Amino acid sequence: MKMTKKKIQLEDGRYLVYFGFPESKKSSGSQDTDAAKTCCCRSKDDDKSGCCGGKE
Amino acid sequence: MSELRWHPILQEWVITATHRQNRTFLPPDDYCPLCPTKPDAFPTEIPSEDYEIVTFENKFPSFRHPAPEPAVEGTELYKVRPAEGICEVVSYTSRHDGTLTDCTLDEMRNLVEVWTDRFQELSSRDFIDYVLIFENKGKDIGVTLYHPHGQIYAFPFIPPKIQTELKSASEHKQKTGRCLFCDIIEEEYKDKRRIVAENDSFAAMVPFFARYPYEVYIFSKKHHQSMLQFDEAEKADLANILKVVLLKYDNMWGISLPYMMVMHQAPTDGLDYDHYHFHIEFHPPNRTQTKLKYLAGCETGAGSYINDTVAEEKAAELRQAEPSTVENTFIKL
Repeated sequence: MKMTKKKIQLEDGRYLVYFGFPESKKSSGSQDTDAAKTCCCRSKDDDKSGCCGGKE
Repeated sequence: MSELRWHPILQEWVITATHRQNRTFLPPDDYCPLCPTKPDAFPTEIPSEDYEIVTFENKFPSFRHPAPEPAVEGTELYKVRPAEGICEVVSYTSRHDGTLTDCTLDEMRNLVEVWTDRFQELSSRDFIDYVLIFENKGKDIGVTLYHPHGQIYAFPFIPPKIQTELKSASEHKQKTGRCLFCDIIEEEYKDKRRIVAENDSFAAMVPFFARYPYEVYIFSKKHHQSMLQFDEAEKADLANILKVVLLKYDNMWGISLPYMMVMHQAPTDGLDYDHYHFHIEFHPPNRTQTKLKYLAGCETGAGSYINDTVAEEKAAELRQAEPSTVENTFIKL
C-alpha cells in the first residue's frame, strides 16, 4: 500500500514523523459512503450503511 | 534523572525516570498536546493543522538516545547503566474524541503499516534489543492523555516477561520439536470454547491460562515472529480482527472498555528467535462492568494471579457481543 513519510525536527530537537495514505479515505468520524472500508459501526443498531449486517 | 538500576533479587532492570513525574496529566480538551495545532490556538506537540497518523519522540521518555550518564555510581551488587533507548508516541488520528475502536478499518490498516514501519526502523538501531508496541487505554489504566494514541518503547534489553516467554518457547521446542504458541493455538481449536473470533490469518481467544477475566490473545495463524513477515492480506486481516475484538469489548456492556494492549514480537538483538511467535495481548482491568480486578497482594507481592472467572464463560460473553461470532466462522466487517 502507498504510504508517505515526512520526518521533521521539533524545536527541542526531538523528531516527529507524519504518515500519509494517499489512497485512503479519511473518516469524518461518522458513516462514510464506502461502508465496507470505512465502517465504524459499534453495533447492528448503529449500522446506518448496512455494512455490519444490521440492515438487510 | 534517568537510569537503569539492577534489581539483584529479581534479576531485572528497573527504569528510573524522575522527570516523568511532571508529565502532562489529563489536560482540558483545548490543550490536548496530540491534537493538530490550529491557527492562533495553543501550540500542541504536532505543528500541523491536520494529519492522518503521526509518531514522535516522547517528551517525557523512559529511555533516551543519547542517554545521560547515571546520576548515581553503581557497585558490583547495585549495577547501573544509562537508560539508552527510544520512546515514541503514536497518535492514531487527528480526531480528539473517540478511541481506536472508532477508527475505520482503513485507518486501522494504515496504523498496521505505521507500526510495521516503526518496528523496522527502531529495531535496526544497534543499541535496541526489543521493540514493544502498546496502548494503555482509559483512565482506569492510568492514561494521562485522552486523545487516541499508543506508544512504542525501544528497549536496550529484552524485558522480563518476554524473556520468560522465550525460555518457555525454547524449552518446548527442545522437548517436542514444535512451536509452543502453535501448539497453544491447536489446543484452543480442539476445545473451541475459548475462541472469540478469527479470520484467515489470525485467531482471537481468551486463553485457557487467562489471568484477567476478559484477557484476549490474538495469534497469527502462520508461524511468524514479527510484523515484518506479514503480507498485504495478513496486514488487512490484523486490522480486521483488531476492530472485531475492540468492538466486542465496547459492545459487551456499552462502555468504552479500558485495556492494556501489548504486541509481542521477537527481540531485535540480531539473534535467531525462530521458536517465538507473534501475538497481541489485551489485558482489560474490568472483572464486571463496574468492578476492577486489582493487582493486589498475591499478584504484586507473589507474582501469582487469581482469576475470579473462567475463560470458557468469558469467551462466550465476548463471542455473543456484537459483532456476534460463532465458533469457526469468519467475521466480515
